[in-house]
Amino acid sequence: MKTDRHTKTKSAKSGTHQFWKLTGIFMDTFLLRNIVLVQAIGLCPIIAVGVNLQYGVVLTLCTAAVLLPCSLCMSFFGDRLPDWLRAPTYTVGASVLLIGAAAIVDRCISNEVYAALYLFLPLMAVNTIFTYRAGGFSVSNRPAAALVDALGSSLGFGIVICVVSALRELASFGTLWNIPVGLRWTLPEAALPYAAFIILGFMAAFLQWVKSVAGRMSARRDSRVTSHKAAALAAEADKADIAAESEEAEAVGLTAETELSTEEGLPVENDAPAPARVESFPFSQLSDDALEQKGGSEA
Amino acid sequence: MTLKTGNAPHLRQGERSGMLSLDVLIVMIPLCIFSSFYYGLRPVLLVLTGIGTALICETVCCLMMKRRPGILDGTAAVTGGLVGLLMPPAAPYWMPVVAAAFAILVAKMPFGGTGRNLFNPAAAGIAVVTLCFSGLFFLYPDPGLSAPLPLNTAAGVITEASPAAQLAGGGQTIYMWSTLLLGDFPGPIGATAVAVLAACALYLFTRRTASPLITVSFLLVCAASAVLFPRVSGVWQDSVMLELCSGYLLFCGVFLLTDPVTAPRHWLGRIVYGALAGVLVMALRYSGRFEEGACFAVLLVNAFSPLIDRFCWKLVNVRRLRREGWGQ
Amino acid sequence: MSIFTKRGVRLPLMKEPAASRPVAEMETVSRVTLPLSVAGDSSRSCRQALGIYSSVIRGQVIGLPEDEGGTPVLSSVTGVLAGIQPLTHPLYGETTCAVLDCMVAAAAEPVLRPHKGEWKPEEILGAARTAGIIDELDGLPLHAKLRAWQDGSCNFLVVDAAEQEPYASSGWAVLNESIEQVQEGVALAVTAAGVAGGHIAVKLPAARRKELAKRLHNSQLFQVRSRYPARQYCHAASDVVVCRIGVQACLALYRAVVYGEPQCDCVITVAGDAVATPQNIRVPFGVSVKQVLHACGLSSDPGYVILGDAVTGVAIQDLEIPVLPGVTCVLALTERKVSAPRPCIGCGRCAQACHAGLLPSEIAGRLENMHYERLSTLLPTECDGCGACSYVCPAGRDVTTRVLEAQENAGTIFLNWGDDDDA
Repeated sequence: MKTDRHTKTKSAKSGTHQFWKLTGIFMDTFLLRNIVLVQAIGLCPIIAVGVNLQYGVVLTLCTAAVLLPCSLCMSFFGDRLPDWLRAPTYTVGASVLLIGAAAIVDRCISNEVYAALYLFLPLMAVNTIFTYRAGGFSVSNRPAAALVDALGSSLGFGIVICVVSALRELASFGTLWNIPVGLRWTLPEAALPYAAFIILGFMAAFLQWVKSVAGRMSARRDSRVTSHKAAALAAEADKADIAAESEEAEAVGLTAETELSTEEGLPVENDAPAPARVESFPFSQLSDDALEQKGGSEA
Repeated sequence: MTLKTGNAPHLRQGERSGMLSLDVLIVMIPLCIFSSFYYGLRPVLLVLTGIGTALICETVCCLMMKRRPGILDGTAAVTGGLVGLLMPPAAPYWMPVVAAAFAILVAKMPFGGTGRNLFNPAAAGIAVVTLCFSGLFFLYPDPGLSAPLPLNTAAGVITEASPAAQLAGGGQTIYMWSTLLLGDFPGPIGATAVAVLAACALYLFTRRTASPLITVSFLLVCAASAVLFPRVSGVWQDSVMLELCSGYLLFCGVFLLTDPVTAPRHWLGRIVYGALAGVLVMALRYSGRFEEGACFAVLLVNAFSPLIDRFCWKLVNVRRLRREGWGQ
Repeated sequence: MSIFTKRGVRLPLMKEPAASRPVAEMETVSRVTLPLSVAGDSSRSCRQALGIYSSVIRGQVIGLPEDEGGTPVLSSVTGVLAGIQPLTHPLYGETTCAVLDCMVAAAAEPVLRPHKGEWKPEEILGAARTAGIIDELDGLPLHAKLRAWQDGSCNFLVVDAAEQEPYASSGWAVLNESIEQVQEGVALAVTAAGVAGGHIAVKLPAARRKELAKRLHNSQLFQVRSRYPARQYCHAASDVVVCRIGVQACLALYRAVVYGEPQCDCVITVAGDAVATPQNIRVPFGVSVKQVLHACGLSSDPGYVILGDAVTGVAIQDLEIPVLPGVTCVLALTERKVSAPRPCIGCGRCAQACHAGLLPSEIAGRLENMHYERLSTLLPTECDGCGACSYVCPAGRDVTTRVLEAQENAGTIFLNWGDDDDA
């Protein structure tokens, strides 16, 4: 499937617009549609080895160290590769980078941590994060966008795994970063996978609740702003200044647009979030493919 | 005069969904009484603790979700009661609290409350207690003690291995019929008196609160497995008797599996569900980590319940579906 | 198929005291409204045969059928044609009605038509058509139904006087009055439809049944033993296809063939706890519900007025709606014993009650959760709206309404939802 080349050409819009667009992409995978809590990608290491804050931090660093270069490379030449070659490319690339990362963890950081992570460090190479971000998003987006997305994904993954690991470490061993905290009771079974699933579920619900509250608050604020502007319009309409009227109308139009797009509580004032939605996600790619296949089979 | 409007039918049978929960609560009373003959007042207090915790948790959740407190439909009380009845009589009071709180706060309310939970909340509560406090959970006091259990802390109580533990460990003690029927052996509060459990089951079947299809197919499969793969050497009747009456297998078949929300609705689906649950319970007994893993089997088979329903309905109506054009 | 429990539900009778009272006559009728054409049904459309303000006598044709084989509309009272107006009827839909001001409601003495020998099927069908007989079971013209069965699609004719729903006892009253004539009517209907045989199906207490059976010389009454909704109407193997007509239509057929009388009135049951004298009453077609309730008297303000039976009827709010062929019961209730709906607990009682073998709670659940692509494979099109599933639901949910909604929308909302038939 051919990618839309025009999404990669230099946009004629201003630098500020670019910056806000990139911020939008970052906030999307980091917070709004968090890579783990909303998109449910990359759960395996959190559930398996997210039992110690140290492991969580190490895994985050490894993910970032591997995802950033991979996404950048796939963005540069990914769409020139045929479909069947993309997955092996980023898997092999990730594995190579992970060999280096594993060596660093083993030699420089801690032997025990490397031993505790035994299987799940190399297993990161086939983690779905790479499939969807490096193999999906980055292939059909500009390098800057791909880099920012990789950053957002790694940080989104990182914040979740750190919170889950910290909670599980406190609960099962009573320590934090291997320093005893002084809890009276510990529950060693919190290191089992079921606790991670439950914690992730509640965190996802919490994120949805925060988004809904923020959305309601910003909607209320925007409706007040719109009503102020409407009152100003009515006052200005007495003046026979057509230019002033059209300017105000444009501003009101913009605010109305942001009202719709600030449902997620993003505090931007321009129409930046809108393009952030129009991404050729692997989801949309897959469904397009599926639609084509369906059309082919039905024809 | 103002006339109101409503959908047909304009009269109803008059049964309320709270009546189903009330049936189960009524049936729990003889179980508690029977257990108090052996162990004193402590089992009753444990069950009441479970019920109280469940009601409090459900009320708090309903207030947080801005709904009317839904404890009047009784399902929370039933969950708390079932959790309490599966506790060992010497359990500390915080154990039913933990189990009931987990059951309501994690297994029931986040899924949407009454009628929307995918997993049996009581089974989930017992599962977490089995997993986390397995040492305490499988310590059953000897029913032959003359003095009743102390009401505050039962730390110093002499405990015995239950029949399920003996089977798991390779022991060969054979109990008499009368012992098993009257519950004169170590076990959970509500799961030992087999005769009372059978009477409860009959009551629930005749009131159509529990479906007999599920229980009967479950017990048949468990008995068949006990005959084919016995863990005691001797006649097959001994094996069947011991396997069915030990642990909380019978309790699971009567109360946990027949929970209407999580069980299939189709008659064939119910039979398949009971049979599958029987296979899983016996498999977990033979090769699981704990002496009785029925709660995990219930949770597993709950996950398959909608699939079983769908598949069985399609199987029974294959001709009709083909006629309408939904060919297989 | 259910191994352990029978399908269907047991409904309470609640037919006394209406069933024991004799059939009352309606004394004063002020105005009747009769439908000339029904929107969406071209076989029922008739054009106006008389001018406005012309006088009409009982049984006179006021609407001539547009179609070749259509049924004429006859006036049910003697009076004046006051006007034509549109009306939305809960059972018939959008209709154009003729309004007649009534002067005399009573019928003249019937005169026997001279005839030798057996009646031929065509003569019987012609008489049914001229008399404008409409079957009260489903509101369809009787001659069309009998003609449709001539092609051999049915083997056995059953006159349905079972009255399975609570309160309704109009069939019992008609049998009490004229069972001999109904029996003759059965023979005529059997000849007209060209089926092998026929009988009257009832669901009566034993004493009443014996009393009625004594009056029939050589045939028995078939007692329907199944629960609501009944499926077995004759002692036969499963390959016998049964066709049903109503008992009042059968009686009207006899009277049309032998006396040449048109079908101008029907017996309906007026019952409910808000009615002063619950009884069966003979009303001319087109009488408004208000007049009917006035004739029977109201003991208190009704909260609900139901046109039709208790389980399948429609709650109406406008009392000027006319009683048309197809309605055999009018109920005035102070309250409905229906509680507020609660979430479904999955007890499965609706699945056990459904005679069509559907899973009503599943259909309703998928409709509410908008899983449309998996809805059609549960076959909501097989539902006939009997209401048994809503009746037994302990959570008080409107399951029947949902299943009928799914049935109605089967063609529309499922169009764009993919071809995933892995329901």
